[in-house]
Amino acid sequence: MNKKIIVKDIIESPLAVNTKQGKEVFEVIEKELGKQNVVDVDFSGLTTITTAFLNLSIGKLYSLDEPRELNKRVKILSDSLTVFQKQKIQRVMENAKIKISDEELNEG
Amino acid sequence: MNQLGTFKLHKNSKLKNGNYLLDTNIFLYLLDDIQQKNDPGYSDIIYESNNLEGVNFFVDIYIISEFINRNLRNSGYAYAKKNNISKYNYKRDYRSTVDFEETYEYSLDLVKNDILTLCNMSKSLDRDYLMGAIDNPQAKDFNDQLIINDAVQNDLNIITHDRDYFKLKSINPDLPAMYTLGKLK
Repeated sequence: MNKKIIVKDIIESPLAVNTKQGKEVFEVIEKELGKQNVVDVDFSGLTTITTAFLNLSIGKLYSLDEPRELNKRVKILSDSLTVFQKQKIQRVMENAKIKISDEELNEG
Repeated sequence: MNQLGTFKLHKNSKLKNGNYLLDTNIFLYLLDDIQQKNDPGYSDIIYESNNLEGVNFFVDIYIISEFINRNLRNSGYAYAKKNNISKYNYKRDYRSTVDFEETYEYSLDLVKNDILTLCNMSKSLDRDYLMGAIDNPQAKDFNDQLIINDAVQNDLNIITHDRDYFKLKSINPDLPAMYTLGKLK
């Protein structure tokens, strides 16, 4: 069964900017996945979407399942997103499993 | 005149009124999809303070340039991890890739859409302040020195996670006020 969630309605704001909001959205999606639903995530109506929000709401989902399986079960409805916002979400998804410490990053 | 001193920020707090220059490492915690995962809490503080009247954020060309460079370097590390490249070398293994080209474009978009919408540009360094950076260097990194002189010239507080600044500040107490979530010593 497909379940559509509207991010703006969950966070009750057009600004998806903080980690608390990210966790709220993550928990809603996680719950739907737990019911074996396919989740359509609707980002419409958001004026600002930060990397912090996306890492917590979407990126963290990749700790639940393998990317291939997750990509089948979580669909991003991107019609209302700008090209830049789509890129931002895409990069968070692609790099969700990559963790590199500050020490390692600062070596270069 | 801004208050002098080094101040510890607290997670989930909001900034008090003032003009803040955001250092490169802060933008990496805000925007770089790799380094954001290591953010000790700057994203929440900055974005929660963004709409407060009396709180203004600033950036300069040295920080923007450093951000783009670091964003690309971080993406290179991620690319090397994803592709299991041993003895990774940025120029040899990453600069010629499609991933690099896409990330470069994306970095510029981050500057345009995120940094420049969040921040005002600080006024460019006058010759006197530039010469001060050359004739009287305090930081061991010239870019850091330019950022400090920018804050001095434009009366800005600095938000940074770079401990080098605090060491400098302990030697030169009259440097601009600094705010951090990190350790002060």
